[in-house]
Amino acid sequence: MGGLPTSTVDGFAVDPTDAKVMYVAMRNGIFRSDNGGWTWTAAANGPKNVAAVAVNAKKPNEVYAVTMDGVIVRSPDGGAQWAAMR
Amino acid sequence: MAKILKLIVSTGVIVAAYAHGAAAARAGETQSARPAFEHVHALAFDAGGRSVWLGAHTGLFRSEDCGVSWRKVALPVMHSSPDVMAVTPDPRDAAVLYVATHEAGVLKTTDGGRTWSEVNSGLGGLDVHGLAIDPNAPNKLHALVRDKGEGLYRTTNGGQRWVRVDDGPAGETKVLTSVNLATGMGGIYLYAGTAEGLQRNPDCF
Repeated sequence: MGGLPTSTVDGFAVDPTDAKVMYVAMRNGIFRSDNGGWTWTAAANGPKNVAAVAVNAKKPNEVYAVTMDGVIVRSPDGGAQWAAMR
Repeated sequence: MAKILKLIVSTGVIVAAYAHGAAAARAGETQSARPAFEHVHALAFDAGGRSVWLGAHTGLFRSEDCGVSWRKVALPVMHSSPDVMAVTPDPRDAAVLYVATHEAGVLKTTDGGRTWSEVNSGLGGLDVHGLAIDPNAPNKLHALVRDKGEGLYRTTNGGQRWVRVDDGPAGETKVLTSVNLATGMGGIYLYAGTAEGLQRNPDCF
């Protein structure tokens, strides 16, 4: 699990079209793996204190997350860019 | 049913979202732009990619406009706002969804959230902290029960009957997911998000 902080994993989601692509939500932010969890990359401009994450079943590049204080954020590109929903 | 196209401009990103009139009229649901979720436990899309479901300390919520507004979904349990620990959509049927609760076990809907039934037969307790559905066989689920009757349970008939499998992941578990990666032993992996990090185990024992 290289690249994933040793911390509580609060949320987890998988790309339904490619199970090797997965996302973790934690206080440190959002992390993505492209190899089933062996290595992880932090979302550079993603939110911190993330409670849960979900992948759109019909648009797998569209990823949503919710912070611990209830703010919904969306990434249109598989976790590279994030913006709050308002 | 007529669809209303709604354009939302959010920090430079334009999102096209469809609000469905039928959903907006569902009985037993109350709408709010930003409800007080308190502690959020789970977030999931339905199989159609249309509804976003959110499980929180204050109950179950659904959004049909990509998370801009939310409706609280009434659940038929003795607590008016059960603590929803996991939200697990059927990956093939958008009308089927399971939720795990802190005090009422597992609830299932087969009509997109209009009606719910408790599917707890065989579970040793009703404090369910994780709920995973097999993406290859959606009638097969695993539920992680804590406190009374603690352990990992499996159903192969959509919740009609649960059987205890083992102790489940060690430590406090936040999320449980079946991942379609072959173990080489005839099953796939169960991933668990825990206080000690991410764990995985074959689901075939």
